[in-house]
Amino acid sequence: MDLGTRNRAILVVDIEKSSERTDPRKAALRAALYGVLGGALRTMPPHRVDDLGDGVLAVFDSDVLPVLDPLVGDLVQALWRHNATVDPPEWMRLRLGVHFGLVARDPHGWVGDALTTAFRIVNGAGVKAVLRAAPRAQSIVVLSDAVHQTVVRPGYAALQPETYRDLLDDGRRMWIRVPGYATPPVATGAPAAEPVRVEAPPAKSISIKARGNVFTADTIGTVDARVGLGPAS
Amino acid sequence: MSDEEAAEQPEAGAGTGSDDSAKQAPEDGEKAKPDAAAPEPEGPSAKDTASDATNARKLHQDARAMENAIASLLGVRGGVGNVFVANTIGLVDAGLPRTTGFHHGSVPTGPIPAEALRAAAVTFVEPANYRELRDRLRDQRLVLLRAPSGWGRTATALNLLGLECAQGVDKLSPDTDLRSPAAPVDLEADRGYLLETLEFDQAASLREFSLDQWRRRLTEAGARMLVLLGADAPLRERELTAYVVDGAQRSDDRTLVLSHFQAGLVAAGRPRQDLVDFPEFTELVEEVVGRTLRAGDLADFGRGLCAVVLGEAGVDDVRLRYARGAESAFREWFDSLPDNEYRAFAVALAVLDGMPLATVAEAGTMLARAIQEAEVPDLRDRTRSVFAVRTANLVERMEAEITLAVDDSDLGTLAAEVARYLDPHRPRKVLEHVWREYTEAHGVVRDWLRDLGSSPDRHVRIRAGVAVGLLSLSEFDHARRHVIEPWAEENDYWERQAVIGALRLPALQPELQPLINRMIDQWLKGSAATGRRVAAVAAMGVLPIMTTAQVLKRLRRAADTDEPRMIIAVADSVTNLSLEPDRLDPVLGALLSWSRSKKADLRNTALNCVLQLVVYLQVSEDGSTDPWPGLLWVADLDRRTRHPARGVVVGTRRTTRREAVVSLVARVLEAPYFMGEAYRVVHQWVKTAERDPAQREPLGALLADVARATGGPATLRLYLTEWARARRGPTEAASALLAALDREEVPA
Repeated sequence: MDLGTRNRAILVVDIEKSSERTDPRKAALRAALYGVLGGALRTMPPHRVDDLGDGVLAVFDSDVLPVLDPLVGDLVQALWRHNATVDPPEWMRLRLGVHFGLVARDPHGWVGDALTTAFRIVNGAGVKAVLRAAPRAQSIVVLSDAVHQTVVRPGYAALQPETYRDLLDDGRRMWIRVPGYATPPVATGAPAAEPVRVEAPPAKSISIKARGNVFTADTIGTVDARVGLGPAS
Repeated sequence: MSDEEAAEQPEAGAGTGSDDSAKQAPEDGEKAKPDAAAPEPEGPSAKDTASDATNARKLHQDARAMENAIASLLGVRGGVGNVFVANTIGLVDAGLPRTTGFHHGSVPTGPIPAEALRAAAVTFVEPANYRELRDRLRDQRLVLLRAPSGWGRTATALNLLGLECAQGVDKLSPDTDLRSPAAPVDLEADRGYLLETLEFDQAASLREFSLDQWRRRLTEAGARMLVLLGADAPLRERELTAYVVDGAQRSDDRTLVLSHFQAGLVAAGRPRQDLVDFPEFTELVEEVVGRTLRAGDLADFGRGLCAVVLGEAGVDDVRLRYARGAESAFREWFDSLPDNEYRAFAVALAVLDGMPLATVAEAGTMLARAIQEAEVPDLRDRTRSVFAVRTANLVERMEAEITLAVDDSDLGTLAAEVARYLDPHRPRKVLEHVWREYTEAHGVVRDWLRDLGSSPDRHVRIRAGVAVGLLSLSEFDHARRHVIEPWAEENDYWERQAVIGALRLPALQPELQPLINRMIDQWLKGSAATGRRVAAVAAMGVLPIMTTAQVLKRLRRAADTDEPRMIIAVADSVTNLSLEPDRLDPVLGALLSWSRSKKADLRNTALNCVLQLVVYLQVSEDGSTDPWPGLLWVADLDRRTRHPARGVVVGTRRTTRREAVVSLVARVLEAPYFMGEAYRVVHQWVKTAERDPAQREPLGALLADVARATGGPATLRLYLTEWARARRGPTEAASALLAALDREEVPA
């Protein structure tokens, strides 16, 4: 795998409400997450997966289309199968964020502004609110505006543009789809034609858990997101 | 498995209550019971039946006997055990009649339970063209999946719809007509709809235009639909290309076996292991996956291997059923049976597997005699010897065993020696073999089963019914005309049970469901309480082939009667429906509506149903020493909830379950004809509350609400005071309840 700066597809997977769980439950969820990812990633182009504690960052040495189809679909299917083994209160619910852009890898991890975007769209307050408003959902798929404009809107593969709706989260435009719902069940009551606006939380802070460590900052710069992720495997 | 003739639920051949108009002459078709010299005594009125809690136990035993009969013929050893589950509505003194095996892998019409969807997801193995199916369903919302029977169509459909439709999945009534885009189906957003079968004539005349209209409806509603078709469905191929997806040939049978094997291990709390971890399975697995078996059989094989790992079965048991040589070994065994005595016993044991040896032997003798008569018409030529065959030889030759089993009779539990095949799947094999290979025997076996359907033993007549149901899978119409309808026409409780037994297995077959629905509708025609009408009403309460709304609509028509036989059947059906958690709301709504009807007979039947629910239903609640009355518990659940759901629909109005229960109890307490029995029930509740203080406060709150609905607590106060004064009366409970009435400030 060439580690130079190049256009790569990025998938961020985050477990909902992971911080509210006990440590043994977190461990069980992590095991389940890797179980869900394992099968789905098997057929994907060369990629690298980094652990985020309550999620993963996967960077693909490919364009973004195969991440959207079939990977996201397969992940949703594998998640459905996993959650069928537990009662709904114990469901693992995932936020899946997809973006692409120029990223590079140095000895400490991935570097690139595209990563910041990927993390921000998946951790936005609006995205979390939509998933909260959909108790029967098991996941939410969040695309950056760039991904939507480039791949989804033109109708490539079986991506069904009509199942996405846009969301303005802290001034950032993104597109969301909630598998199982014909249209995302946004709680704001905004008309479908208007993007849903979600105000940013008063004090912006971002927590990243990696290899058991938690990094908290009021912003993610251009290169700091992956610091501390350890050597490449 | 005792002879229950004396204690059996009686027929209401004549109304003996105060409802004189309900009296009727003995049925023309009434026949002498096999072992009853005297004519059947007159039964009690519908009201007496509804207010007698011992009948709840019988209703439960009927359901249990039915489940055991089905389990026995499907090869589920051990049948259905007693399952006592807290916080679930059951029948008085009976535990829970419904078990997880209730639908035996089939899908009931109406909302599909979340557990069924989850079970399908856990073990699902994607067919090769799964993605195409998924994409088509996402894209066009309506897909016709065509695949041969046994391919795994239903599992695939449940998985797809469950995944794509967050609000759940409904199985559409099998008589839904796709040719009519205006068919009355309430489509909801993010909900999936499964039509499990499409009849030949409907498939043949289905046009693209109709499907386009359905697609538009589905799109507008935000719903999706999958329609399952057999491989031989006669479609207008070219016209429907856009909607039809053929199921790709199943290529990975091993994965399917493994999936069910592992799901069983995980469910038993064991680690997920691979089949290769068990070298003793290797040869058998290779052999079985090399055959072209149905998906259901492969799943069963996987579960069987899991049972071996869990120590619940031996690998030989599994081999006995699935190995390639099993079929020929079985044929050799049957063909080598020395004479009709043995063959008759083999058939009798197939029908009555797991029942007392004496019962099986008696039935076997009956059949042997019938065979002999068929072969040697001159009765003087009979040469049968009473001491011809020793039991031990017979059992050994049958590859059967004598074992002890515990059964709960009307008088309590008792142990009995029962005979059963060593191979739990043999009963079905024997019956199917006889039916397939020996057409000359059809008439004899059919007549014999028909006679068994009139047996005074509940288990025997239900087993006979289920056996007829199994045989009817290959020729339903034949069985309907020659056995099922004659049974129904007897217009007797016993044969009615045989009818329901006979319909249970066919009702699990998607392709037979539309026929059964149509047959029931034919039976329901008219207004008299004919045998067919009463049987249809009884069947609707237990067969999972109609939506609750469809059942209640038909029951409403039947309930407009003054014939006790029909009123009892309606009340039993309503009681059975109310035991299904997702059917209670519509049942309460229907009773609210019926009990306010302008038709006196309908009102009367509704109140009779309410009385029966009040008497029959109970719930075991954690922390209580005594079971709660079912409707008290239902009402109290709402009281404990901050914002109870208004799920009970009456016309355009929605109400909570508590409000519905309060109204219904108030109405039955106010109705002059039912008042006496209704207050006797309240008396029972008070006595229960005397023993179980946990029920006093909820009961007080309910009675206060009921008093408000009836316009005042004076009568209740009077009764409570009177009951408390009686010797060893419920003084503490009555005081608490009177205090509750005061506290709730019910105007005097």
